[in-house]
Amino acid sequence: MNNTEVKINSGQVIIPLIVGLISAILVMYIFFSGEKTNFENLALGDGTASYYATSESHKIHCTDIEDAHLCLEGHFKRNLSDAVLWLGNSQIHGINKFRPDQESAPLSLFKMLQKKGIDLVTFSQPNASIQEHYVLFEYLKSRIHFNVFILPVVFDDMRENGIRSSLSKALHDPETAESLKKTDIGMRILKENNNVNQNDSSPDIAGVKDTIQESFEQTVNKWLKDNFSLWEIRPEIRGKFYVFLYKLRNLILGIDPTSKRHIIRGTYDANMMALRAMLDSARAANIDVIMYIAPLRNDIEIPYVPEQYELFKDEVERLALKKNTAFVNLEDLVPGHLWGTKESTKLGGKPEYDFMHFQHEGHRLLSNALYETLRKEYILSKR
Amino acid sequence: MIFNSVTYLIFLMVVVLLYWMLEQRSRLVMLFIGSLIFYAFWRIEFLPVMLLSVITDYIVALRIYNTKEHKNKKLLLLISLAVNLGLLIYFKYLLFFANNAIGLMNFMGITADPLVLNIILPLGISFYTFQTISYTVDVYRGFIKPERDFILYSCYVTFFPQLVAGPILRAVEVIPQLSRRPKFEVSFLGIGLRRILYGLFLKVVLADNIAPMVDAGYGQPLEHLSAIDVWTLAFLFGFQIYFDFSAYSHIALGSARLMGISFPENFNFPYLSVSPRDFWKRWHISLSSWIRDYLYLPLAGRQVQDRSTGGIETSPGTQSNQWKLGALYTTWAIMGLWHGASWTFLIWGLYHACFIFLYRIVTPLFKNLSENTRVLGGWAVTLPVIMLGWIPFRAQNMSVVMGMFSKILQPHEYLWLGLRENTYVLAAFILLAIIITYLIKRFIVPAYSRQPLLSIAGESILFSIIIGLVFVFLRPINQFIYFQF
Repeated sequence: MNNTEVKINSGQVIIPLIVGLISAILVMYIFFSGEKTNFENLALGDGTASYYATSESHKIHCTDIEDAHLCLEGHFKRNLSDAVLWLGNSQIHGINKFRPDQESAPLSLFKMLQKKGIDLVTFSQPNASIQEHYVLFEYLKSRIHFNVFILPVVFDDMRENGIRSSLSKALHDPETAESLKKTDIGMRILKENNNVNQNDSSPDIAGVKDTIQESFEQTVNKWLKDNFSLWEIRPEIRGKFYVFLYKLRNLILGIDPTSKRHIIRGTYDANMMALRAMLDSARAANIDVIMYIAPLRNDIEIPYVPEQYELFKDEVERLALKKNTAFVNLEDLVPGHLWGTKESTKLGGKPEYDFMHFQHEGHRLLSNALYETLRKEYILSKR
Repeated sequence: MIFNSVTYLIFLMVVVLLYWMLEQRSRLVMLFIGSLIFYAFWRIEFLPVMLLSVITDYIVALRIYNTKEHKNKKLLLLISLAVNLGLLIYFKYLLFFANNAIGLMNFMGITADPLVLNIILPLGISFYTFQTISYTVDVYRGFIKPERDFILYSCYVTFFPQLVAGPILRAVEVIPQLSRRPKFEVSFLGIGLRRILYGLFLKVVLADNIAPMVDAGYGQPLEHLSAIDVWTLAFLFGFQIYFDFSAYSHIALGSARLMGISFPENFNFPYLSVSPRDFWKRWHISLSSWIRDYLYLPLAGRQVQDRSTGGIETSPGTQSNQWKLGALYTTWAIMGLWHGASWTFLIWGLYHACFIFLYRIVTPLFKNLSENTRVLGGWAVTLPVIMLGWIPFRAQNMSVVMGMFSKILQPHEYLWLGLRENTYVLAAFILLAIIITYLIKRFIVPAYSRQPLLSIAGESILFSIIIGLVFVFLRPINQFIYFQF
């Protein structure tokens, strides 16, 4: 090493570092210091907007436990004896070709149920897994009384694993943890997320947890955030970098929304276990459940392996039968023309088919279908 | 203190500034105190443990040098070994050996309760004890004279860049550099910063982003993993640990270089090795060289060396073949256990011993092949064998190890996939990237370096990307994997 270094000219060693530093800072300032990116909308695509409904200044549709208090406030204020809980993924908060005068399925259903004196509280997160629904279900079950629980079962969500940090804080809630401990999958979720501390202000410094360095690192980071705008937007740049890699991968490998998504066996089984556990827990608490196969775009070939998708639907239906739970298959509910396109998932690509989010009219069809199911099967039939 | 943090960068800046500002004596005192602060930022309560090892070997080495009688020298050496290995055994192996002994007793019908002790492993203990042992053994062997200046000697052992995860250096490589004040050169800063940036890039951009995929894969129940998944996870963990550990070495080398001190290289494209012997000359070179000089060569009855380079070498020696075979397996069993008190690490060590042994047997069969065929064939065999070896290194327990190995032997387990698609894409991409990086370093960089302007332009682009990514990803979300050893 020394021999090589002797030959190296100092300028040749140091200049690229200085030029690199200046250009890196310039690039970050120019390209990343502008308006903040809403990654949820970015994931939904350009043509789709997030819609978390409110009623009389209270949220009726929330994301997870971080904003749950906003929905619970309204629920307690309305003080209705019957209530429905609806959990889901971005399909129920994403409206394709959204216009300001339109509303989402949760708001339409909320309005219909209010007329019957029944409350509705909805929670949804993008790419929510059934395991996450299970955690949120147990968390909410100990906080609000609801008679009916609506759960969409989405094939894509069966490929999702893990508990996002905004939900994992629920695992530190004693009642939620106690409920989860009763099942194998609940124990597994608790075990896999046991290092997530509810009081951790920043998982960014998990590597120095419980060391003298921890507080020093926190103080320095706070100072840097307060004084340097570039430091503050680092998470934003990271997010954009991941999106760039995702689009680059799709471009190189020719992946788009129509590409076949296979079952990931381990994740699928874990989600099925969570589904079974949730149904058992609901039954034990005298909560009626409506499971539905989520609407799927049917004017083009579906992005799943047909045999796997059929097996999935069959398994969910058999489970509903076994657990004496209402089941409706709404996969063909929304006709093809009510779906749309989204921004390309490839670098520099054209708009692509959106298989998850439909237009306002589709939301109306969904809320009507669910209202009808509630009318036939449950509390509405008693009124 | 963890390297991948803002705290370390501030600490390093202050130390380097003081280093070049202070006079020789104050500089050494500052380095010693700085190193203790560096260590205490992790857990202050383990400072006395480290200082015990440091002080013991300082005194013992001086005594060995001043003692005339060989018998007394040997006794003093044994004291040093007893203290250092005693610390290692207590903190690292006591629970493992005790609970295995208790398990055996229970198996034989003698009832005994498992030992319950809350022993926390002091950071870097496996590294600094090996370093102090090498110092005392080298004095005992007459390779070096003991250092009388306690501060200078202590700086050698506790020098913060290499304190907690190596490289494991010899006194002869460090003490002379610390004792002479080098003249400041801008190139020290340039080269040091480059190495630190490479290291941070490998750690915070690559290793830390691979980690969640590896954790998710190894967290799956075995029945959800196919044979292809096992291979993929073996490769992916192989990449993670390489990036993680070589990152540490890069930052250590770079930090030392900022002060004009050169450390020998600890890694050299290990996954392009063409034989197990070649691999151990490219992977964690300072440890394999330590094992070579303080364990394997003495056991095999051959003259040892006094440098932390070169890695494991075969030895004709003076002993019988059976003896040398015993030395090989003993060495590798200890090498495995050095990494951790677990059967899985022992299996990892013995796996490598078997691979080396087989290599020695089959090599003569291919001596008539062309050089290119041997190199390519050697790489095609060595890479997957080395990668499979990471399974026991990473797996939680022996049943997982056996389960994963059995998967790869079953043909029907190759017919399905159980991981997210990105996992396979990433593993394939990294393998390709390593090969391309090597080819660029071997063929394109030398050509570019003859044209200064092109070289500066190319490097400026490279460093703007590296600096940008390191800036964005720098956060201590994970420790270095080798901190647990």
